[in-house]
Amino acid sequence: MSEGSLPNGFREDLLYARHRLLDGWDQVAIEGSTVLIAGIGALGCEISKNLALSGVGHLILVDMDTIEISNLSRQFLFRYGDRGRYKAEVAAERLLEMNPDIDITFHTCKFQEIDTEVIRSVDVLVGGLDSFNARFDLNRLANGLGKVYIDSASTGFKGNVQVVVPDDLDVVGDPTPCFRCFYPVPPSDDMWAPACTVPGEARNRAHCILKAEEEYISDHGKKDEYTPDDLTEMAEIARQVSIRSPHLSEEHFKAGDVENTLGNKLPALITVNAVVSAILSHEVLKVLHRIHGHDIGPSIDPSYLEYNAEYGIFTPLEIKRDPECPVCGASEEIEEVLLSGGASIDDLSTALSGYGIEVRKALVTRSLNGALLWPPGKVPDGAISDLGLEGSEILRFTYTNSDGQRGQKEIRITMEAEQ
Amino acid sequence: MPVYTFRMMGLPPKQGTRKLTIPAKASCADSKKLVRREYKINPALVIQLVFKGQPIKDKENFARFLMKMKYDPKKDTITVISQQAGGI
Repeated sequence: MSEGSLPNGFREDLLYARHRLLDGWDQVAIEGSTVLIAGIGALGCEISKNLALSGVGHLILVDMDTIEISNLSRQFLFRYGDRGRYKAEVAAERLLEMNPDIDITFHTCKFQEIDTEVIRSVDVLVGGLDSFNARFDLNRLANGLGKVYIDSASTGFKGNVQVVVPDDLDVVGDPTPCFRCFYPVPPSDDMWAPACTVPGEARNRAHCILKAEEEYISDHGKKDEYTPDDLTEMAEIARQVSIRSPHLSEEHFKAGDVENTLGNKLPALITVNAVVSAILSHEVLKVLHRIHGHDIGPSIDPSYLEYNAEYGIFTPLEIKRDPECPVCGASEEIEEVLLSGGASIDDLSTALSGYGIEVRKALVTRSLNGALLWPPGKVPDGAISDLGLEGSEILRFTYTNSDGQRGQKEIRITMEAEQ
Repeated sequence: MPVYTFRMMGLPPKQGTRKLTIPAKASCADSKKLVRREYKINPALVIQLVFKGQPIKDKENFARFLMKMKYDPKKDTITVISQQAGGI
């Protein structure tokens, strides 16, 4: 009799036989759990494999990107033939081959676009994200819904895990500092490009340049070092990429833009990702057990742990909760600005000048889902309602003051109905 | 100008410890630029300075914050953390 033809219950008994020998382990609790993994890149592939083979009953995979050849050295769930397919979809297929006894759903969109009710059903939110702003949003979402959020990141020989336990989740443990306590202000927009992937369609300037490099290499062959002529040619290709990108209007590039962007490439290695992901996955399993009234150990304490593969060093870092944190601390007083229905960006700019915010130089996003309204210096023309803002909504302004200091403020913008 | 001891997280003391002069008027954001230069940190990484478990906010005056936190130049170090922010 082959393994596949074994009755389901019997197959599961065999599959998880070694788990059951662990002190405190409860396979039923794990099977009854749901974990959402945002980002199915190098970390997400490892984490989802660990949780699927541990028998987590329902995995929700979220990633809007498609598979590229450069992913294959780290993202082991994917094969050459998968190029161009959605990561979340392919990962779901491969994980079900590994463990057909679990449920997997996948979303090929931003996690911010998923129905809140779906996220409310999740036990733990996991971040394997390559964008700082997405981490801010996931952290806020988890805190708002009272869910544990476990974040991870990896660059070169280093990686880290942070466990965020919100208030009023005593069954899991004492509350810990959230991601925002650690990084009160998001990094500037020159760090926006995703860490490891060029998405199928260019969504910003950096993507255009990366696509241009791909096309350039395809036409000219790989070069070790680019000359000014190469960079100028790539700048022109990047412009053409922007024209055919549905999310962008025509962008213009200089050779220097290309050089700067290509110089921001980050190193990555599967071994480091595997270590970081294993630590994170085990923290998830511990939290799931505690949520279901079992105990296989407390969460890492301190809640932030860094791994440096170069020296084989694990370093825990004690971080204190920020009592002024706008996410987990004393809630920030959100001020409200009233504008007429047909108000322009200039009207908004005038209204916010009293807060010390130069609207035209600020990065402006929707607080609800982190969606970008405009980057610094690229304010769209026209009325505010043209941006899809109607009624009342909280906007997040990340800005640099005239003295060079950065700040962030959230303000509720309320549009009065036009008479 | 005051000299402070920094320690890059994850590195052994010999490789990770540096002494840096930070101007008295420098904000934490200014100090981060000096730290980034000294440790040659990739611009695609975001850095955070932490002292006694407290991340130092960019707008804080660096020297004043450390004085308030009773920084002892003989034994204390400021932890430098670098983390992937974006990059490619």
